[in-house]
Amino acid sequence: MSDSLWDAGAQNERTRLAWQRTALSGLACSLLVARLLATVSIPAAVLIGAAAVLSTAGLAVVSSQRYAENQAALHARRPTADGRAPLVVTTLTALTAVASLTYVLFT
Amino acid sequence: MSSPTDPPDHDPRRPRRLYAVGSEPDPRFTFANERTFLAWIRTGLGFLAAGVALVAVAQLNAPLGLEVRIASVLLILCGLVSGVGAYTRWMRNERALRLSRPLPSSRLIPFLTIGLVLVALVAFAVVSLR
Repeated sequence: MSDSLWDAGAQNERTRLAWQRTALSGLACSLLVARLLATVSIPAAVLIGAAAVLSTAGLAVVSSQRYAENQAALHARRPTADGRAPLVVTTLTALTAVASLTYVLFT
Repeated sequence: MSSPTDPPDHDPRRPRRLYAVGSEPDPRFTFANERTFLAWIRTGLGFLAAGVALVAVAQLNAPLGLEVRIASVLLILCGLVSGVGAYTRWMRNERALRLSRPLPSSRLIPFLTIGLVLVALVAFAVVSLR
């Protein structure tokens, strides 16, 4: 068993922690938006709030899966995870931005 | 059995056009690029929270003025640009890493600076004209 020369754990772990704090920031921000949006439209607020909770749970699962996959990939010297999860996160951020604009323009 | 030096012909990773070029970079740089992406996402979320909070606070004890809405929309647009720019920047950086080229410069930072200066000008006008 030959591990990498550099400390793979710290890189991968720091990246997982960055995913986790991003997911928590996303939850806080989107729940804030959902709460404020309730003054404009209750159904939209419920939709955004539910999407916030579900997508945060999903991101938590994805970040630990990516961590495990990357850890295995590093030890086997295989390429690490790809760009699908970043694309999902960017899409969720854009969705939160649209909900924010709805609140600001229609309140 | 593949290794990082194999040609990326059968690389199943997406986006395909990113992994079709160059060779696998040092994983440390890939991780660092990913963390930078995530930091930009959090920056974008911060802009969004600031934008909605501004409108929420401004209408606590006064009717909502146009200048508040303008500042708020500017903040939210900065958040949207940070969020989308995070991904395009991640992809351009990863591409540069794979091709062993210098990292591209970013238009995100000047754009966000202009956005924040505009918001500051609105805030200044609101405070000094009241």
